[in-house]
Amino acid sequence: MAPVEVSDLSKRFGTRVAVDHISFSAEAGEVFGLLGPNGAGKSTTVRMLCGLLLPTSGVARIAGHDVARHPVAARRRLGAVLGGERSLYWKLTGREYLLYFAALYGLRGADARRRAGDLLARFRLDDRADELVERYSTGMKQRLALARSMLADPAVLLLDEPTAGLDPVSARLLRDEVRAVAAEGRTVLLTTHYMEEADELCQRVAFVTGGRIVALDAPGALKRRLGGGAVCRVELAGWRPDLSLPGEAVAIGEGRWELRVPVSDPAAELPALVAQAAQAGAAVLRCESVEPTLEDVFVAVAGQALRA
Amino acid sequence: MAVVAAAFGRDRRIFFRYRLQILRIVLDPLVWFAPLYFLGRAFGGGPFRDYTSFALLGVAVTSYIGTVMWGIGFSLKQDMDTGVLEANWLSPASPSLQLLGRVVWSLVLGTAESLLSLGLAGVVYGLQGQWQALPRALAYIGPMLVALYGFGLGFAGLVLVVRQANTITDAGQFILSTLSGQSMPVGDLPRGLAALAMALPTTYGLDALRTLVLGGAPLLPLPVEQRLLAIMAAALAAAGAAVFWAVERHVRRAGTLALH
Repeated sequence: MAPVEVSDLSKRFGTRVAVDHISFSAEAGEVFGLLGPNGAGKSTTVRMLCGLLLPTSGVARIAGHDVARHPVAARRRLGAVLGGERSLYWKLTGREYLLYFAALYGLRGADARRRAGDLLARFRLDDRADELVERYSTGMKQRLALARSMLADPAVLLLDEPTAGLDPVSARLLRDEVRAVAAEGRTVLLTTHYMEEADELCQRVAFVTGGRIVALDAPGALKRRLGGGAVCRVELAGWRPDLSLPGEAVAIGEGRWELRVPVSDPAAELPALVAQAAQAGAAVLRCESVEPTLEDVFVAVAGQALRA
Repeated sequence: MAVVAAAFGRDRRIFFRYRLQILRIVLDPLVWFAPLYFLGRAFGGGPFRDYTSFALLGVAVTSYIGTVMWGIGFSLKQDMDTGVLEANWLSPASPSLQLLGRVVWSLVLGTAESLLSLGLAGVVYGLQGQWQALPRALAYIGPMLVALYGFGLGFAGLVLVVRQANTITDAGQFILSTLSGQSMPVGDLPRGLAALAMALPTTYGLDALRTLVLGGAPLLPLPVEQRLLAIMAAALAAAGAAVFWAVERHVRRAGTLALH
């Protein structure tokens, strides 16, 4: 049984469908990414997995426990970081904060102190452990939130946008921590809209848009779905939907669009594409062919899903 | 028990990290009691031979209303605003037990504030009465507090639903304090309001305390007030816990835990 199992899970808020019959599972030691734009349903899914939100239908299981029916058993095997630094008591010290949550997770006395001390050292907070959290940097606060999520030695870790708001160095350090946590055999479920981060960290990713999973696979396999070649990126002015150009057009600035077209032979197809755009009446500002990224895959897949 | 102790310790630590709050505990009663003291001196007489003591006891007891409404209900709203409520509710510990820890801290703080207020007021303004009767009054104040904190649990639930709690907290505290007879005898209220007052545990708790310490006739015979307080304590504690539990389910269904 996989540590994370989601089966036909849905959530409605009134008439709005936030999550629409999604299913997936994540294995031990795997970093699994839920990717999508804001409002796609990623955070709603994570909150249902935590038991903070009850599903309208379907089942979410953590380490075999149905989260809605046996929330306490599920939460004992689960750590989560939602909202990052907003989840901290700023007027407690880092050590007091961990000891408080250790009590909520059933750790007592010397065990709690030892566990808190170990985690403070692991996340490089031990030299500031007895300072108030309000004096920590954003990166330190995020690491403290991650340390709190590890108190119960969880089988599953849910991280909702863990690097949002972090500077590049802090974000890199946090990604290293995520990799280390997964290497210990824990399942990490990560939501992000940073495609490069997901590409770097995740063994598999699910693209979520409109509350549905529109693609789920390893990042490499998803890229190969684009044809195994390259992506032509043509920057245009004056693009309109009725120009009937191939690929997906993404707005990149005031009156500027980037046309992204997966191709198998860029040397032959890029000049043809530029000519086609010019003939349609759009002004070509720049063009290039590049290796496809997860973002290219997402744009292609989400576009197909929207048209369907 | 460990969860209750942890939540108690958390609130205690955070309270003492705001050092000006400690000064407020000392200054607040003196400031609040001052108008009552001068009112008593100016208009005392007749049934109000010692209006100052009458009113000071009223303020000391009804201060628990504020402690309950601001200390439990409103602070839960603050947790919601700052984002820590989700982190707490992610743990396997029951939210009701976490709230109970806050209730116990609020009770300790409220009692300390009330006793300090009376002590300071006694020194500064002078109080008369049979103060040795205070321990006997615990038989009335105890169930009153259980009833009041039961109400507080339900109020905390209401705060989680309405999310904009300042107005109802402020207005609710004023109305409940006034109806409980904080600064006037409940018998002098208009009939409709007096009927409402007679449904409040704080009315009986305060009335019994005044009767024992200051003398005079109670609203109802004291044994009857004691029985009424016991019934209210059981009913409000059960109702408050039930409301909080129902609201907890509601916010998990509606997804409003992190919204404010």
